[in-house]
Amino acid sequence: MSWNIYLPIAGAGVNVFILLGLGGAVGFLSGLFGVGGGFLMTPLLMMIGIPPIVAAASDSNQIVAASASATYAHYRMGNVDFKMGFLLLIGGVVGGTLGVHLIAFLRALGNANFVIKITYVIMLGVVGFYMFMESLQNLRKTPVETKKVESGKSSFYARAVKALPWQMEFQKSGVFLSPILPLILGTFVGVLAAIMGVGGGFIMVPVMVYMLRMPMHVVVGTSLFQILFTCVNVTIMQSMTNHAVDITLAILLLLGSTVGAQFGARLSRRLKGDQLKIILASLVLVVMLQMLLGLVITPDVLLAHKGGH
Amino acid sequence: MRAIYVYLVVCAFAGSFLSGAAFAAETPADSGYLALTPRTINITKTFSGANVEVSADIPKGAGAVLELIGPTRDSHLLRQGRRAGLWMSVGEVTAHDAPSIYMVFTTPDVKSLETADSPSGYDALKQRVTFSGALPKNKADLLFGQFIKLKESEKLYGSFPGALETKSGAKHDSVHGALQLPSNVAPGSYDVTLMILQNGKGVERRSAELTIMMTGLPKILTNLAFNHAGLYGLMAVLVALIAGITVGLIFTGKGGAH
Repeated sequence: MSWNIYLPIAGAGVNVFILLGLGGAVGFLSGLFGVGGGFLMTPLLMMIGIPPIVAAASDSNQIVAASASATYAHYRMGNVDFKMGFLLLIGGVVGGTLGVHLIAFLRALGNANFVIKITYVIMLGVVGFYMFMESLQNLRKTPVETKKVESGKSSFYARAVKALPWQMEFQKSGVFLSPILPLILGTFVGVLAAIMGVGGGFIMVPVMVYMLRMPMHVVVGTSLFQILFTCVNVTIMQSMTNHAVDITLAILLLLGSTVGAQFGARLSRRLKGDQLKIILASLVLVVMLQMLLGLVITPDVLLAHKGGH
Repeated sequence: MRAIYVYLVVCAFAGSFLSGAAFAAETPADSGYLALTPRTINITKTFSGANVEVSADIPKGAGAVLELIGPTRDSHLLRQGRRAGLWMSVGEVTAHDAPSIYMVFTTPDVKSLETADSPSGYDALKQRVTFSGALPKNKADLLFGQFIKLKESEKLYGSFPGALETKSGAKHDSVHGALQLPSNVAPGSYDVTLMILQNGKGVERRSAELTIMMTGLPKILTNLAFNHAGLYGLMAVLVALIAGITVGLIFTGKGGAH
């Protein structure tokens, strides 16, 4: 019996266990941190010979399964703030549309790729470094010290947030703020995600933690809920405009990722918020370093196929 | 334990798709001049590339050049360049009239692929392939070299001097070769040509057609994806949602999630 499977849209034959393993590993990270994992999966699929545009589109398809699986698990654990998730989603859709137009404008100027790569490295670097240092500091403090520091904060940002109109309670997140804030932040993440060509989970998670002051466990569940809707939209759009979704590839990846996401979600419940943050920060920094090396080291081939993230 | 059992059943169900031959080999159809075995390759659900045996009789003491040439198409590419010390895509380039696949094999005695009436090999290909778009200034020649490098990394192009085996016979010599087609070969009609050389000059040209086509599940899915894209997209989302929620239910049902 052959363990190879032919992927008709990708136009390549791949070993089934490689795809199940990749899906399982990335799904585990998705359930653990509340990220879609596109920033990891797409380059890995490209490394095994999947064309970039098919890798990106099919990855969005499998993220639908992984995020549905993980969102359900987090919902059962009471970790999904639907009200906050919808507001971020609306902002994300608006921001995504703005970002697509911004990219078109930058392409016309001829420096879109430079902006994309630099934005990627800077965003990953800033988010990863800040999250890593902050979590490290919190892990070194006693719980009493941490509470003291958190309650004592009243920065300009906190005062500005309180000054916004239509303040309302987000019960699941345990925060009281204006719906304008998640709408604005959702738009900001949507713009960045469109520029960088990713789902934006790894930007959304720090935004929810640091800007919306949501507890880490609710952040993970709510982020997954938002990613689910974003990827449903991307899958349908990619199918209709680029014919780039390979359902065979997506099914094999999701067989691994849905199970991986369950184990990730369970482990996330056992770890402390700061432990989760420090692991995610390390992962983000590793990806940033890998991208930075890609920018500095001369590539083997100076031509690449068009498409993908 | 129940969750793992159910997952294994789902995997076994998916695995049932995997049974079947990678390609249906046809009986070799010898043209009398150039024999290909098989002549038709079916891309089925387990296709992972194919091996095509080529054989032909040639006059005693002659050499031969064998070429596999795919249909020509435009390739849309991104050119990598350095900006402010960093490597990135610096513009789009389109390669015109480049075959989707190109492989050239020779008998060990062939020193040059440039025969007067029918040149072959990468140098000959260079004359046919053109580029448009963001071409590098004063370095256009480098682009073809990079294009070959890209295609070779995908195993779609290859130059194999001396890879055609020659055997001596009573009246004729014979040549034998193996075309290793990668799994990313596209469906279509491919030309296999054999140029017989004597004293470095082409004296006879023989050709045969190799057909590669999709069958079964890959054909159905490709048809759906390209001709019923909306339905295909909805199907992809539904399958993902059902799979995700089912696994979620299985694991939650086990009682560990809450």
